[in-house]
Amino acid sequence: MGSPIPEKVRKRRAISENPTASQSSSEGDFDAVVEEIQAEARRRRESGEYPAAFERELDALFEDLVPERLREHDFEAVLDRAERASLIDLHAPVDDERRAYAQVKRGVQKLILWYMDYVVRQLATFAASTTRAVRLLGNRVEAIDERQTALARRLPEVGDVGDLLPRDHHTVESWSDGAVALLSGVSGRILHAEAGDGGVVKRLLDAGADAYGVDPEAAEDSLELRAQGALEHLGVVGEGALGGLLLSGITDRAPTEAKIRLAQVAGEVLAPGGRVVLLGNDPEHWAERVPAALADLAPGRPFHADTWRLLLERSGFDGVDVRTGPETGTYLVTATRG
Amino acid sequence: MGRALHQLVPSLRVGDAVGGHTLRVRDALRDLDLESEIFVENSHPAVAAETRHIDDYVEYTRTSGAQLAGVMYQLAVGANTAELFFALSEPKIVDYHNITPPEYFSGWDDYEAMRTRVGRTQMERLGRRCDLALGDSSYNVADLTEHGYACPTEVVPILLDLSAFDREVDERALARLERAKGDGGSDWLFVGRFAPNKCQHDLLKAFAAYRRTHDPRARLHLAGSEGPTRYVKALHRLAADAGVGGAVTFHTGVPSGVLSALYRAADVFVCLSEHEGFCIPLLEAMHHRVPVVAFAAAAVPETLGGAGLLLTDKRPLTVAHAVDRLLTDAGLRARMVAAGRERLADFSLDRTRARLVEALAPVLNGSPGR
Repeated sequence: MGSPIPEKVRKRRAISENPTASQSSSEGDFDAVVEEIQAEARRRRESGEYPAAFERELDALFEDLVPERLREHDFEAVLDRAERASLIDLHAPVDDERRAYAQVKRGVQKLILWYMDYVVRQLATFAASTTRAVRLLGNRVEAIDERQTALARRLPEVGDVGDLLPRDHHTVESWSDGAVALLSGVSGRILHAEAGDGGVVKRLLDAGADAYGVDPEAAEDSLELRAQGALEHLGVVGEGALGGLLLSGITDRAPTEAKIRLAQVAGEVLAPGGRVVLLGNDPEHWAERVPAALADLAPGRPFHADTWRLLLERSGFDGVDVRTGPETGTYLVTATRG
Repeated sequence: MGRALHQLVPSLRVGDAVGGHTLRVRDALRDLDLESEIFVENSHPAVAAETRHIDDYVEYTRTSGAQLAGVMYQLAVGANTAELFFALSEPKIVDYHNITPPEYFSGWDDYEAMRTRVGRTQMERLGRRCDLALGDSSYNVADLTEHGYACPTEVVPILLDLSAFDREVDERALARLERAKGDGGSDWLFVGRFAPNKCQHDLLKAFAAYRRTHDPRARLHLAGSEGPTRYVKALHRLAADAGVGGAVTFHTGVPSGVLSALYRAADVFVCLSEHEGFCIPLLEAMHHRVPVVAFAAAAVPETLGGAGLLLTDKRPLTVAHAVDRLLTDAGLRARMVAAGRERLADFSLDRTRARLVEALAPVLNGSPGR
């Protein structure tokens, strides 16, 4: 491997022009010299004057020192390595301080070169065809990957569901006293996702807690309330970085996979002993309130409180407690990170 | 009532490129009759008197009586300072010196990878709230644009003063280096932090190839600040395994006098780095009349500006051949040194200061672009 740098980064390299400063008048000169140098190096390599095996040995020396993880995850680098290894150097070193030995080696090399050349050509063709096939396969996988990413971009994202369904402020309002009471005593930072207009965050701050919120539709973008999606933000929060987590909104609207992921991430970002408080709607009650067409078109619909209980327990939470508000058809689930 | 434009920077250190730039930006702003202070999270004792603590920013600007024309953030690492900057309401200017993509550190130093990841996340967030963004190079500006900066952007090269090299030369170090030259062989030099993106490993391979094919008595000097321990250890091991351990010197944390001696003794400056937001050592080499061989990546071609051999292939034997060509062709070397001096003039302090003032004009005139 010539470089430990992943392909993603290599693609980012750019040769750019400086719009502000002049270029040296000798630039053209040096470009021609560089071309000459690189062509000459190529020629010497092809003629055997520069032994290909030597560069391979140097690459291999460094490759042995590269952390294992780095080597195995860079598809292009692994292929490059395989391709380099498929070049077989026919010219074995024949130098020897003892002249007679050197002559014998040269003689043997001459004698068997025609035979070795015949075998090596077949081996090299086989190796080159194999790596070529793997590279083509890699290209096809990459193309599928790109198509899938493009397709995912066209699908409504979790944050876009708000376009279909009216935002539910009712649930948060009806449980805000309970949520503040449960979270204001925790140690560490508290995150409210999705925080709406930041009402609960403000109450937590007033209670002396270190709280902030995220919401994709936040009108402002400040330290206390950031304009960001819940999962997008949780993806960059460090492991065990939070003491408390209040989840609302996304808990009802997100597709099933996103909600399962939400429970997992909650287990990751909360420190041991940290508390999660989750607000949601009872699905039957929700279906009665929401127009049928919107309910059918929504990518996600609310879970039963017991489903969250199951998901949280699977994500390492203890002491799951469910409180229901029969009049409002909403619930609060709270649990402690084990 | 006077006007003010202050700077925020996570830390200010002596001999640090961003630190020197920050001080020179402050001086340029003061020359415009603006009040200008540097607010830091921490600073080196030698420059502590030049700074104020970041916690005092809000109170200081409230009581100083000067009208705030804006605030400038020197962005080169992930830091808490960015969070304060983000929350301020005055016109915001980001001066971006690039943050190495975390992928370069992953596996070598996961903590460093995490820090750079945080830095790049902050860089993206700042783009949503800033009124003007400056970059040392068009490569850096392109990085900002690619990450969603919709505000006006300007290329303002880093403000440098290379004349310090002429005042400070460690004569004993220079004598030692000159003595080694007595045994024959050329001196290669590279200056840069010991880090995977700087690719010192490729340099060691090229140097081993050069010793084998052209000059068995050559020496390589690698100077720079300490980087990921795992990578530094791998470099030492690679030098030994490639049979050049005795010919390679690792200079870490060298004072500027020793650095000056290294440049003076060098026959060629070789840079095979893959990620540079600007690459000041290229200009330092030009200042010392040392010809440059470099790999064409990131901002290197732009900073070099044609005043060196810019390779698109950095396989060991190609680099070795390029260095040999340069060292055996006196005419080529002389033309390159002359081109280097010419290129250096583009980065004179007078020119870069003028460029800075020009770029800041919309903010200073009260018409930032957002």
